[in-house]
Amino acid sequence: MEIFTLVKANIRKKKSSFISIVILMTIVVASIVTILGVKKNYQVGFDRAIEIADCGDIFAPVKKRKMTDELKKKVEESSLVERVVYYDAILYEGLTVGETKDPNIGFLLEMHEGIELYNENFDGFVEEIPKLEQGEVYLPLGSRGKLSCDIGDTINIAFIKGMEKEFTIKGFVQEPVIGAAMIGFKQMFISKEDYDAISKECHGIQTEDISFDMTIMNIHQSPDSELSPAQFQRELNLETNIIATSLAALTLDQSKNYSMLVPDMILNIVLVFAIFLFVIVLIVMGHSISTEIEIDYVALGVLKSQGFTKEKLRQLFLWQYGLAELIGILLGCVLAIPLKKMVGTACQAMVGTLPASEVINATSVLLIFGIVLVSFILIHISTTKVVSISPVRAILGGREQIYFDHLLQLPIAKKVLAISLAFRQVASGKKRYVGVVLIVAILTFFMISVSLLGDLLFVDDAYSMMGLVAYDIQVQAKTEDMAKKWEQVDEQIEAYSKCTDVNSVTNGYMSLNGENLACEVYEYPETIPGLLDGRLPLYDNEILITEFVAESLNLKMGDEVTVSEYDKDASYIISGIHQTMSDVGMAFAMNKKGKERLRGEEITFYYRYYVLEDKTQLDAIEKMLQEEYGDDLEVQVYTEENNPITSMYSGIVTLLQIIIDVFSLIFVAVAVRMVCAKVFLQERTDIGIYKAIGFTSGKLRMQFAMRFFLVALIGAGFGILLSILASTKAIGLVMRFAGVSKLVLTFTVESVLVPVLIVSVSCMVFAFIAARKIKKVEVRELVVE
Amino acid sequence: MKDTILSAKGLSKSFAHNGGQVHVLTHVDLDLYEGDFTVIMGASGSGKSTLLYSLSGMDRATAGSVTYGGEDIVTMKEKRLAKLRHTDFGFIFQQMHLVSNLTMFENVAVSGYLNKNKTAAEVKERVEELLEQMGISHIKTHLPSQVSGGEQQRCAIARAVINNPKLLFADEPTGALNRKNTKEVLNLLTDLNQSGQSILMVTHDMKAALRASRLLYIADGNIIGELSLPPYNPDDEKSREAQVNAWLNSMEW
Repeated sequence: MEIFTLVKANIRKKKSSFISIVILMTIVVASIVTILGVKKNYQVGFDRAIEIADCGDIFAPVKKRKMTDELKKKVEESSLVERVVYYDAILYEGLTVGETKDPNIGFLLEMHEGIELYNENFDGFVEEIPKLEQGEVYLPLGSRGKLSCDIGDTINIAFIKGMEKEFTIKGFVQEPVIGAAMIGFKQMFISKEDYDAISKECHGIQTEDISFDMTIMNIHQSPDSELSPAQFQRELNLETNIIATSLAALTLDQSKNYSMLVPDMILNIVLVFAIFLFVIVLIVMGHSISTEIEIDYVALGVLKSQGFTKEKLRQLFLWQYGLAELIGILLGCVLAIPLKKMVGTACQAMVGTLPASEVINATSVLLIFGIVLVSFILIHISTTKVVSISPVRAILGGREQIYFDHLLQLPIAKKVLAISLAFRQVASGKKRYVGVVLIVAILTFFMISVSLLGDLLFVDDAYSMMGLVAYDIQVQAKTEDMAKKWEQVDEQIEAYSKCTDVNSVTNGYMSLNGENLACEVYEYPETIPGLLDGRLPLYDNEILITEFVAESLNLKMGDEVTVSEYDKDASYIISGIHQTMSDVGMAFAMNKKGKERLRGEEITFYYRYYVLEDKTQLDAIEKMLQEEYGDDLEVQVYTEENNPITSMYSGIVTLLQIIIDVFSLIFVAVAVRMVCAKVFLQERTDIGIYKAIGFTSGKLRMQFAMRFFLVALIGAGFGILLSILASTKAIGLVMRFAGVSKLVLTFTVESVLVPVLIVSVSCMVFAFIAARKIKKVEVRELVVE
Repeated sequence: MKDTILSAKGLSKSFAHNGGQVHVLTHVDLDLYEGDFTVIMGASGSGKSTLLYSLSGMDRATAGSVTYGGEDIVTMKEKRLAKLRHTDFGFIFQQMHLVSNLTMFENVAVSGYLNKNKTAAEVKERVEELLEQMGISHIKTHLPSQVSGGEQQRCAIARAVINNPKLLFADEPTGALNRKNTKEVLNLLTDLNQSGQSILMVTHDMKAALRASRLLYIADGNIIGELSLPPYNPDDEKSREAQVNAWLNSMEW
């Protein structure tokens, strides 16, 4: 009982530290529970969607012309396969909604069972799905954000041979396989009447080379098969060649990974940040306990002399801080409920599926348990000092005399009185500021890392380094004839500006040693970006693979591999390792001749990109091309503002920067306030003395603030050092999600200075604010006799 | 006729306590004169320290005024008050209160640096002089924690007078010292006074009170008695002590 009386009194007396711990824990727990909850809810939601939609373990769209009875039979009768669900589909070749164009191919299907229609708030599904009328289409939710469209908008869908149809968006559906914004091709749903009409029309115009008829195969793995999804795909392909025959096959695992790619990247970074924030909470708590023991030395000594055992005194701290933690945890869990809904909703536009609404999950509970355990261990360790409290010394005044390192004893100078006094305060009380130094170092490291992440695409050679091309113009030939005039277009563009890079590239899926992978085929291999090792595939029997492909297929340079597409295959030698963000790094590349060798026929590129030396000619070139070729050529001019890669990337990084900056500022504010309050208590007398000899409150506050600025600068220095040592590794881990295995970071003055200034200045400002007590307290009260 | 250096009129100080008010000072009227060594005596809790702090502007009085140089300290803004503390007033505490992480030299110099009319070199020169005068120049690089209480208090006196204050306040300056150190500190204060320094000191130590040229007695928050004495002379100490004792007895000390 006596413990609770003391705990109550302590909490009352030290409201500020109690509230600070509660706030910090609330933020940490709310973040962790929210992130884990959102991830888990999407997992549950995704599994539910898969079950309802009866998606197979492999999604394989196959051209009907390639779908022979023999192939069908082979797949259906494979011991690896339980069953196959087939849907007819029409291949489309691009979409336009208003000004937004999507050049990706996709499939139009008749609306069928298992596809759920979102309600108007996108937080549930309608019970009875209204029948689609002619001219109406249901889009997957991922298209809503990607195409910036909404219900009632008109969408123009392009089919083979330039045939186009207009539809009105009637609603958005949950399509879990390829419905996410990050996945290029989509399944969309139309009425039977429209399906039949388009099908009929396409039949009339299709040629031997160009067809529209598709069969979507949903292949269910046999429950007896113990293969992983990737192994299942590979084995099935080796057995039946179905994957190589399909246009672009995906396993459910790949679907899930691509769907959650961006949210996962953001959530994982924030999760790691939140865990570091917890480390900060531990530092703050440790510091608070140790200074509290120092400040309350007399009171604790007196309690000891009254018969309180060291265990009881330690229990006092355990209850006091443990209670703050538990309240913080509780508040964090409560706060996480609306946060999960908010974050879940924000991610939904990218993921496309409806997250479950589980309030808490086992992982979160486990993590909270871990947090409590680690905190209690820390409290126990931090209170070790209590053991050595001597009642006799306590009664004689308690505090130890201050000695400080003479190496750090810079002289006090009149001209820089505030700074030199601030420096002396820091030098003589180093232990008090260790916590702040660590906190600032961690926050600076995170802020610099996110800043570097933000700069990644904007430094010289960044694109090329990551296997991307920062092109200025991309043109798309709308007809086969046009696609044969590239040399002429090149010359016309060169008349305006020299081109530093011109190339045509086409993407598709092919099987490499049985593994279904994205393949980039370049017309001119000399400018393939992102080469890490070896050399570019200059000959028709060479390919480049990524480090991820090398790792997962156990391949290396010089190895011979088999590449197959549809019913054809050929051998190639791995000439080098490169990196590309295409299919998050699970891709390989070859040159035009290499692809032609596989196909046994000449291939045509419909897309071509140009990198100009003189960017000022962009508008003139666009105008010239439009005038010259009209509807045969679609021209897209990219500037830094409208570049889809950089704008999406900037959006993600900006969001991350906001999250990390806001959290950092809150943490700096709370931590500095708490440390200031303790330092203020420890230095009450000194402040009183300074006031008594003529220092104004303003000067003393400024000195206080200056001290924290100095401490923050030291912490920021460590943060920079940490960044130099670890940022590349940390960002590398993040970028692996996007398919980048190797990167070189460029530390710019801005990327380092801005975070350092934000943290240091905010430390200074918060210290100045926290030191307002100096103003309110009279000298007489400060000078304790 | 001496010039008045500081004048208090109707000075009152109350504290809120248990929902009521505790009146520590009640309508104190007091003039302090230039060159005087004024000592306030009184029993514990009589309000002598509160009076000292209120007169020096260290604490705000609840009512009344304290006039210094034509200005009322009670209503003075903090900035002006701070300036007053490093230009016109000096303060010595019972517990010395040196800044623990500054050396003896620096403790004195920091005060001097606040004076904008003096260069750093002038301040340093003056600090050297004062430390010499106080007999502590040999420990100028020591930290307060490395020297004795008497040496600390001498350093505190040097700090208090570095800017040549018009009035020096001392709150039980010998309260924490042993006999030897008490004597040394009192000698220093006496020397300062005899060289023209006005001093207002609070004490309950008879030996310290003997140094006064003017003794005030405070009880229940008001001054109830006053005794004027000739300048201190160590040869007269015994007769002076008898005189003061008699006076204190009359005050029911």
